[in-house]
Amino acid sequence: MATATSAKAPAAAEEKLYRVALREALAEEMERDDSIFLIGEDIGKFGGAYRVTDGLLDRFGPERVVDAPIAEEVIVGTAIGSAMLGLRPVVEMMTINFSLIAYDQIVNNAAKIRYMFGGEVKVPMVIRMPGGAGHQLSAQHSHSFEVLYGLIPGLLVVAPTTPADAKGMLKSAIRSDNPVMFLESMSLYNVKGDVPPGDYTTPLGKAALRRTGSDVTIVGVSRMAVLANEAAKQLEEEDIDAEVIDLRSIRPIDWPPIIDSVRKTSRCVVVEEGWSTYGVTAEIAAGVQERCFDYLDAPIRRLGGAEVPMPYSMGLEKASIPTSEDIKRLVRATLGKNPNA
Amino acid sequence: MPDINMPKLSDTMEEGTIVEWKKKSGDQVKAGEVLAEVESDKATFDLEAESDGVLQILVEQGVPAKIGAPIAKIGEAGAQAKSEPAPAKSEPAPAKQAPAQKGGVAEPKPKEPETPATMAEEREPAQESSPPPESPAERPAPPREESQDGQQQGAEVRASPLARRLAEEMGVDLSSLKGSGPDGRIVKEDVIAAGGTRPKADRRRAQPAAGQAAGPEVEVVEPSRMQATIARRMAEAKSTIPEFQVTVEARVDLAVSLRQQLKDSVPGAEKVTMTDFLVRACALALRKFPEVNSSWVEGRFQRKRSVNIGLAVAPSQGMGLLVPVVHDADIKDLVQISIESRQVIERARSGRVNEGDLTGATFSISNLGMYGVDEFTAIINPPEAAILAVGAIKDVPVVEDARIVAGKVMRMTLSVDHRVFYGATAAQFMAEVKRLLENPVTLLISLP
Repeated sequence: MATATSAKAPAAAEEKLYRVALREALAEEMERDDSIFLIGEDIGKFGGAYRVTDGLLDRFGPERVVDAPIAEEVIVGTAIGSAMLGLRPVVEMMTINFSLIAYDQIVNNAAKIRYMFGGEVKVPMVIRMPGGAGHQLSAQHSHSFEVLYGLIPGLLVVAPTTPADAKGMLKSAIRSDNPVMFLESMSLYNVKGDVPPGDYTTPLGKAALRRTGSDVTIVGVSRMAVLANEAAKQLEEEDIDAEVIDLRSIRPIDWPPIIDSVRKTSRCVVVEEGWSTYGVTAEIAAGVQERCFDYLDAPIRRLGGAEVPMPYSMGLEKASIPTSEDIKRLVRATLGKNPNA
Repeated sequence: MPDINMPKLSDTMEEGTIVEWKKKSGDQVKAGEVLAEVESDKATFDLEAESDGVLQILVEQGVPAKIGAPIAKIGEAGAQAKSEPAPAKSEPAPAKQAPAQKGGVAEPKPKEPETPATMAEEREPAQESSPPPESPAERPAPPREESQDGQQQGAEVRASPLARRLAEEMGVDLSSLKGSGPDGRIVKEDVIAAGGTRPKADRRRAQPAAGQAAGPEVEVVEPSRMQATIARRMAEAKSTIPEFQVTVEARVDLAVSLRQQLKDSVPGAEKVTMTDFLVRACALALRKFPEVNSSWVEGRFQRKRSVNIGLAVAPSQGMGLLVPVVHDADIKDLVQISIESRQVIERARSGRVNEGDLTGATFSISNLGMYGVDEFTAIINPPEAAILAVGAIKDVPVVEDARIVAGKVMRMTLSVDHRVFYGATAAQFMAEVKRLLENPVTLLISLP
């Protein structure tokens, strides 16, 4: 859960959109520290493809809100260079799909420079990018690539799922001295949630316990943590008491709460929107097995998206993305019940 | 190589057992030939081959298999017939995984972890965070008992890691347990349930106590699959359904004489019974009160379009209970009902049921009149909402126009699931059944 680090007035939390929470984090941080600048495609005049940076050009000017050409490798390269020289760039990739063009910069430069230069330079950079499917953007524009960045030592990779976390974690990411892959979800921008007042940060690298239960632990990645929570609520009616952990941090993985939970429930289901073969769920399942083997009462089950390039057809796309019903089925099966009960 | 899977023969069937294989692995079989006798919770039936080929048995007789689980294969000659089946070792057909299925869902049968002890010895997990407190390497390898007399069957015990650890701690012999988890795996609860009853020293399969054969005070009898199902379902019904009863007495003089007339004069109605009258009367009443022809499922009413009436009958031998079903009883006339109910009861008793014979009832009737019972209450057969318990027809003095005359009466008690419908409806429904029986000509006409 969000831990408020600063307590000014005990004002009540306010309900805000995920995208607004992100915008507030950017604006508040830019006010606080003028070494921070934003760079990305259409983030200035247009206000961002998903309207996260709306209004920031007027407020901070074109030197701090930079509309870049359509050249992702150049954008990230620019950000890495400026970060090495003391600025704090926040990059917006229009979507995670385009970050593949900058993958070399991210993997070979951003993640490694601090190591390769013996700690003499650092890369305090954030790359924000939305991922996920469900909008009929077809095979090339619907990826959930958590795992591509989760693979790389030297990166911090986070995926907030609530407006409160979006704001608190973006602030932490901006203040971090290491490159942070900040994975947003296209489907969450319009989600509302309570956002604590004032300046607060939410630590990176920490999972969140969203719901306590005794029968099974569901670990959800990014938007799937939200669906896991929905599924758990519905499973109550079937007398299934599920515990839900929102992974939040893909790298590093916050093992202690997951281990504690699985040792309590003896059963574990892991869910992601991306492909589960070699996926984040594969990593979690393997790690849980190593740490909780003697506590397991059922095989760890994984759920991911269909292992196909995302179809354009609305019906096929829907069938390719895990749903809360899919999660419920898997939970039932893990408990030895009829999956389709 | 087509799989032969355990078929589903009744609504309540969850698994079946091969009573006897009539063929051996390697036998050449023809489509239509009887391969095995299979026992479900309700009946025993013959399993026939669907194609020609060489039989390969996957599940030995006496071993229960879940519905849909492969129990045998029929292949080409020489294809796989050479090896004897080794059910525990052969992996559950991983190749069948559909390519486009969502990741984890596609694995209904995850593999049992291979003896983890050896893996742990080879390589400690080089992880930064805490390993489990007890080093897995110290745990003994899973029990792999070979029975002395050489009758080895299903050599490896399927148990979860947690169950294995608990069994070790509690001194429970896993090989003596029956698993209740997915794929028959022994899980924590099975071990805990057994934990209190087994001494630590006893590592062998529980033997019947030596003295037992000599005349024990209590004889322990294993229930048949059907009896175990009845026990479970009745306990479930009584513990989950808030029920109440409504009893009425009907004058059945006219019904009795009409039955005699039908038997004497209508072809096909020679064997019409009072139960057939009840089926017809209840079917018509159910059509009038659809809320009775309903179920309570997951917090909602389910109104059934069809009126299918289950008849509680005893099997021809042994103690048990069968509920053959007369489908669409509301659109069948008395003669049809009479013929059909007789046939379906006969099929159920002989264990040679057709599809649907034991499934889909929306209401049940239990008639113990032939045993001279005055009246009784029956337990609802979920998900049905009600069951009618019928007593004997008795000659009694009745008051008619201020005079006492001889009359025939029958008492009927409706058990009702109060979640589905309530007292007033139950009373109206019973009044309608009574009215129909007391004016039996209404049972002869067909509704528009």
